[in-house]
Amino acid sequence: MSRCTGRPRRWIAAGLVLAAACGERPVAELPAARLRPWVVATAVDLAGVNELVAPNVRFTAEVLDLLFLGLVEEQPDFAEHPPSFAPALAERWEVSADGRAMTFHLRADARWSDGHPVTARDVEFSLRAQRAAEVAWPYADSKRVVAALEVLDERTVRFLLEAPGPYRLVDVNDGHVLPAHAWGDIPFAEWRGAANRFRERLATSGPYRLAAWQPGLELELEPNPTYAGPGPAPDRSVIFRVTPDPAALVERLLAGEFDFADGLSPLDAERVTRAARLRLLASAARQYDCIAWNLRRPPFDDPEIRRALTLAIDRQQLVDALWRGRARVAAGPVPSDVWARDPELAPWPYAPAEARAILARRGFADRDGDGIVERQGRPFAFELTTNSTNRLRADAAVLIQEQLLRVGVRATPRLLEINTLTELNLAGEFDATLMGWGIDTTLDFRPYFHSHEAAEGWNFIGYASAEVDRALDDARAAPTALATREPLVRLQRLLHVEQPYTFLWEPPRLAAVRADIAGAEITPLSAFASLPRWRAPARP
Amino acid sequence: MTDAGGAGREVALGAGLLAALALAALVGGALWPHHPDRSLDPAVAALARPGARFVAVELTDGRRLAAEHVEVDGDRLRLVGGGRERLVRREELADPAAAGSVVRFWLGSDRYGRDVAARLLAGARLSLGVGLSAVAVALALGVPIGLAAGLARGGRATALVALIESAQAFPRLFLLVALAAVVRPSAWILVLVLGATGWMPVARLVRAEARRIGAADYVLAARAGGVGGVRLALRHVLPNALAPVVVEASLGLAGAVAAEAALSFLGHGAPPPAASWGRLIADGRDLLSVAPWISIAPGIALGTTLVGCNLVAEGLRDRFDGRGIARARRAAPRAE
Amino acid sequence: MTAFVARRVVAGLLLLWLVLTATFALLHLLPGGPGALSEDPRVPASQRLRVRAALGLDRPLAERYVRYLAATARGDWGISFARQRPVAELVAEAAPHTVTLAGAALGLEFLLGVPLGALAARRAGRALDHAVRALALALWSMPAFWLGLALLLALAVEWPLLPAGGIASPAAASWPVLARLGDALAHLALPALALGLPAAAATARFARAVLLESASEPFALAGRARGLRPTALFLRHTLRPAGAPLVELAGLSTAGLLSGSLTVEVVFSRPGLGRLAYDALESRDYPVLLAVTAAVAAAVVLAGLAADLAQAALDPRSRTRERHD
Repeated sequence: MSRCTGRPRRWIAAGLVLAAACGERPVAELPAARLRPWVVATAVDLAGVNELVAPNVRFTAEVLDLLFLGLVEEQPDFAEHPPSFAPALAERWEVSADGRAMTFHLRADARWSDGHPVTARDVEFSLRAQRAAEVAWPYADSKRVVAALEVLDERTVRFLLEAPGPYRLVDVNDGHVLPAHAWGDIPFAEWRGAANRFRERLATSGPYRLAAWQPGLELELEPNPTYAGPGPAPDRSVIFRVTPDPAALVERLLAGEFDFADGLSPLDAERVTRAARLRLLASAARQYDCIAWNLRRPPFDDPEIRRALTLAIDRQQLVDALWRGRARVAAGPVPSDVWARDPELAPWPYAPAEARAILARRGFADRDGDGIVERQGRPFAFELTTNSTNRLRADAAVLIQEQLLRVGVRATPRLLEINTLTELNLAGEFDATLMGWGIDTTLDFRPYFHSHEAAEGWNFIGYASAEVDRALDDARAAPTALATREPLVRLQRLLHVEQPYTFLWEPPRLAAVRADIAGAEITPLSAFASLPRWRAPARP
Repeated sequence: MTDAGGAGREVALGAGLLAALALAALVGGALWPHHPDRSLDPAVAALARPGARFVAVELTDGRRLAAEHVEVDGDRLRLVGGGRERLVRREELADPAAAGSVVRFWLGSDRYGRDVAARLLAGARLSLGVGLSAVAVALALGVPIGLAAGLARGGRATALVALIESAQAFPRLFLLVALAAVVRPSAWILVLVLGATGWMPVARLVRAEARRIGAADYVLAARAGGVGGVRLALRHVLPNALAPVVVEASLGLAGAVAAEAALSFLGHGAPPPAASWGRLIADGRDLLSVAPWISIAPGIALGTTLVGCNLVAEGLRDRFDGRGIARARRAAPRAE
Repeated sequence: MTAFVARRVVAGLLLLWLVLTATFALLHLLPGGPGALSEDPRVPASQRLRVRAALGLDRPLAERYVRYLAATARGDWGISFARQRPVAELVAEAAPHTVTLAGAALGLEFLLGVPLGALAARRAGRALDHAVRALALALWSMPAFWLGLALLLALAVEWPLLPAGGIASPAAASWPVLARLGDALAHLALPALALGLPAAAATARFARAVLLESASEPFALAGRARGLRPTALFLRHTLRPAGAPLVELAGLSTAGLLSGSLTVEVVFSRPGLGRLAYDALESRDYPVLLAVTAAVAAAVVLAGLAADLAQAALDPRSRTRERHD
């Protein structure tokens, strides 16, 4: 249509005005090799360029992965064995024999986007910032294992660890390496107000650098000319366009405005599969959803009753109805595609008759004919809370209500705003809550199930089991990652019998990409990591 | 069209519509064969078009399966539908003699295979009830405050106006989130919230009318004659100020339902699985291009309610307001 | 008149203080603290406390309130927790988008609503009147968030006539002024329609009622008796006296449009105040929430003041009243 820019127009109204004004415009100066940027839809905006002070929202973390590098990069290959790590800023590293020292050798050709070399000084600065009290990085605890850092020369650092352990590399690698020369002279006390300065002085080490950012609207990343690897250099820029309304996002995606969109709902995914122009990408999400029972409130303190409730919930129907079959019924906290999963573990079946029998054995019966069972005059009724903005969970709560009614249990869904929900959960003021947990690389389940975490931590259900505590302690004390498998299998079996949570499903991650783009894929770790490898057939 | 006759016909038509709606709200739910909250096999019967037909088979464990058609295969049934086949043994059936029953979704089904028509009927009671109550609360608060603000003088007037404006400026969403944290949602809370956030427009309109009428000669005369504040307001100002307020009130019902829809959209409306019209509109909105009937049906129901309310309101006003349209029309030039 | 304005300004400031205090109290009653810290199990309780300290949230409530008031009076609106930028910057970036949207919707509401209402009033009782009323009712029963998506589907997706979101086209910064203006209007069209059409419907009904009312007043009949032509009669003796309640409607519409802009801003990806407040609520970004509340409250007060002044100008009788106040 219009020749003034290379881009096809979408709307006639402005086009008419444009056509009138076109004659006056200078011919656009497009370099011959400049390719049309990828356009990616995102529901949220970038929260900030400095990960230590910006809220850790998933989108921000994934974009910062494109801008910054860490010492090493975790690979999404955790299906058969603990994840492996590939070189990133460090081209090689060694662990001392006693496991207390880790030495990293940085690449010689690693550069910041403004030309300065990446040196050991940057690593040292990053560690200092991560541990600074005024910066108050939420994940600073992962650096407690680091006793000291030695700078051996320009490109060699040695981390001295308090104690060896199976996942020390993960802890040491947590957080990217930040530019000391650009951000070093901003006092830590001012970091929580200095977003503008961080942006002005931004220097990146990853495959992209920041080209333009209109807050709330668009974010443009362009290929970083000083990027030397690892991994290929991208061949064009990428624009992230903020589209907060999910329904509008899908419509615009199907109309062809976007090349990629992540976080699709199952219904959207179906529409994408029917669209010739788009291809559906699916991957595991390394997450599970569950109902967390408040074990401090009877009758949830009785494991037999919890098992009955699990038997009474048709989880397969939930997966079919909500996820259109794209998810898997969960059997425990370790998803089925993670190496430490107990291969013999299968989810409890749907057996409402047995559930009713268990309830009867425990003294529940419907004596007043209202369809709800009672015990000692008290009906089996409870409130099932979940967060109001997650459509799937809200709908699941309604379906679960229907299912539990068939065995005489009344569950009343209650939707709460996310912060409120979290506070109430942490305070133990809930009956049962429908929620989801993400799985950490280190497969650390202590926060949720260890009795020591019941008072102040995330074990807000109040679970206390000596055997589970032992399994968790054994996993933490294991010398290697592989050695954590046995205690984790034990853990899974115990949780299967005790059902402190009713495990519901393992959701997928669903994304759509333009069908003619090669090299696009998503992994449980990142939706955007493959961006530098995307290639389109020869057409700008 | 004679004036009295026209007004009378309007009222009759409006009242008829409202009566039909009220009837549907009160007994429709009981008479309609489908339950609003029971889902029918979402994998097969979800997002069915209006008029779609399925065969429903109930199992002993309480599940309901749906199929487009059923074939008998010895002692088993083959359920064909949703792109797949399932085999069910006769022993699993709740009613082994039958091969399922026919189910028809006259207004289609939602994303969980629930009958839209049933939900519409169930929602009528909640929405109409909540909407009318919310309007009543808004009027009960807004009319007195507006009258007082319009007729008062000096500091009192300013204070009342400040009250109205600060209520309007207060962020409603925070209030909702805070309230939801503390109180379990229910229809009454919804009525209070909608009424408490809807009285301000009424108050401002009444205030404007009261100021205008308060400056009229007959009111000044009454004041000079010693008629006191409340009596002045009620006997001399209110009856004349009512005309636009009556129109506003009849629209207020739609406003209340739309507000409830917006609340449901943000997650704070009627608690699930309540099928209020607002919730239906909010739920159906995301599916607008694949299943528009889910949100259009409640929209039409709402529109019909509005038409009924409005006809009644305007008809009554025309009838009882001596200086109303009748005289205006008589005064208008013939050429029109 | 000046006494009146002065009194209203003082009342407005008082109101602002009241609303801010109430919001401050309410925010701190809301469960949950700033944002994404709350839900991540990798963040131990001790670290959460440290973050709260870094944000200044560990001081007693009364002290924070006083500090907040003092800073606000100085013009320092604080730093956003979620974005680590000065709040004044964020509000200044977002406000124009909301103001243009609300302004366009208000304009649409009156430019469409009043003529339609007048048309229906003049042809009262006839087919056109019924048609206008029916149309208005149909529009009024469509909530803005639904209408927004429907318009998006119809006019931006099915037939790509208008842009589906944002405030400007990419690369629009390098276009000449006229093209940029047209581009901005094109991006404003759908959101303004979504917000303004239901409001226009309500205004049309209201205008009709008020016009019929004033058409039956004695002065209108007197004008007719004097032999005024229909148009002059309409403009001077029907429309103008009806101006007062219509202006009042404009004043309160502004408040309604400002708060209604949230859903429309979400659907059409406009980074305005509504979205800013909504995101800030989710991340419990207190400084931003307080600043947006103040901005909206100020706008409501100004709109009310403007409406009252316009009323006084339009209806001479109310001026007499004011002198007695």
